[in-house]
Amino acid sequence: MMKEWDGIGLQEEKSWEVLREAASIGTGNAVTELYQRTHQTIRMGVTDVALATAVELHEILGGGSGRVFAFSLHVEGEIKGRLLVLLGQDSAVRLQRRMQEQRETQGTAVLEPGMDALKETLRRMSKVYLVAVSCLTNLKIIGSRPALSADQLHKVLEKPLAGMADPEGKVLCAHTRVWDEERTFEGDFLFLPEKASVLAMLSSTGS
Amino acid sequence: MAGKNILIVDDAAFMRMMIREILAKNGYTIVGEAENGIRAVELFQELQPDLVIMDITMPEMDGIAAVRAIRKLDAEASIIMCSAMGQQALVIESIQAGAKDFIVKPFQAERVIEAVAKITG
Repeated sequence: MMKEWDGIGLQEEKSWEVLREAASIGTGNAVTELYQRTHQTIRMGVTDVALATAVELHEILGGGSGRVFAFSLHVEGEIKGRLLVLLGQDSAVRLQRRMQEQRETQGTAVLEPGMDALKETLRRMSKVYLVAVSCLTNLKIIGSRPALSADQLHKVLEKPLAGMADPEGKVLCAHTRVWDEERTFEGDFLFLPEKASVLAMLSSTGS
Repeated sequence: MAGKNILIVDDAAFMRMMIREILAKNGYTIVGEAENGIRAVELFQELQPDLVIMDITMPEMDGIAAVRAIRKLDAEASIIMCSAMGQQALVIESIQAGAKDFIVKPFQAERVIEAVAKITG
């Protein structure tokens, strides 16, 4: 059912589909980057797009009260918003170990031990994500200096969501889950564009 | 070769539109479009296209499963995978399932035409 979306002249389904595809392509390219670093095949689910409150977003991401590593950055330029990569503690530790094993296998020194190796990997994945969205939409996008935080899910979401919610307390989100074949690694990509940016995406893709 | 009949499979209508425009501009005929793997198999049987362009990540049935199902129906079916995931293991899995080429999204029009022309010869 087509309906006007929040009075900004967008048809909901069309707008969401462009966003869904952009997020899906961003995630697909990001996990390809991860594959090149770890040689571990990563699968991804179908991207979901929703207008969600913080509580609903918590549910979309699987809820839980465990510790989560969140890598977040501001998206600036012709598309504005936030990009987050979320990993549960176990997945973060496994990814970190895998990065170090890879370096050792390749005979290179562990120049970025521990958290730095994880940060560098997530930084690269985020950059590749944004480059893919930029290529798809022909819009210039710049990622800010990223921040890595570790806390309970609702706490790591607080800061990125601040100032983004509409009067009903909702944010537009495109969520993609990724995992490895053995399900020892799982993560979530969360793209939170400002609603007005979706207009630019629609226009640039001729939708 | 222009004039060949092509089936486009992607869950995003806007992506199907992009591919359709690229192909139509180059003289190819789009005989059908499907939004998931199940519909792709149905349309393949019904339309018997010369070539299928297939996304991987889709609801209902993913692209690799659809390629396997189509190749069971027609061992000579020509299929190009088109996915955002360019991991070598997935490319190999696609080729083993029966795909003849692999295009990584986001793509350039030239890359799509090059792959289609190579297969439809």
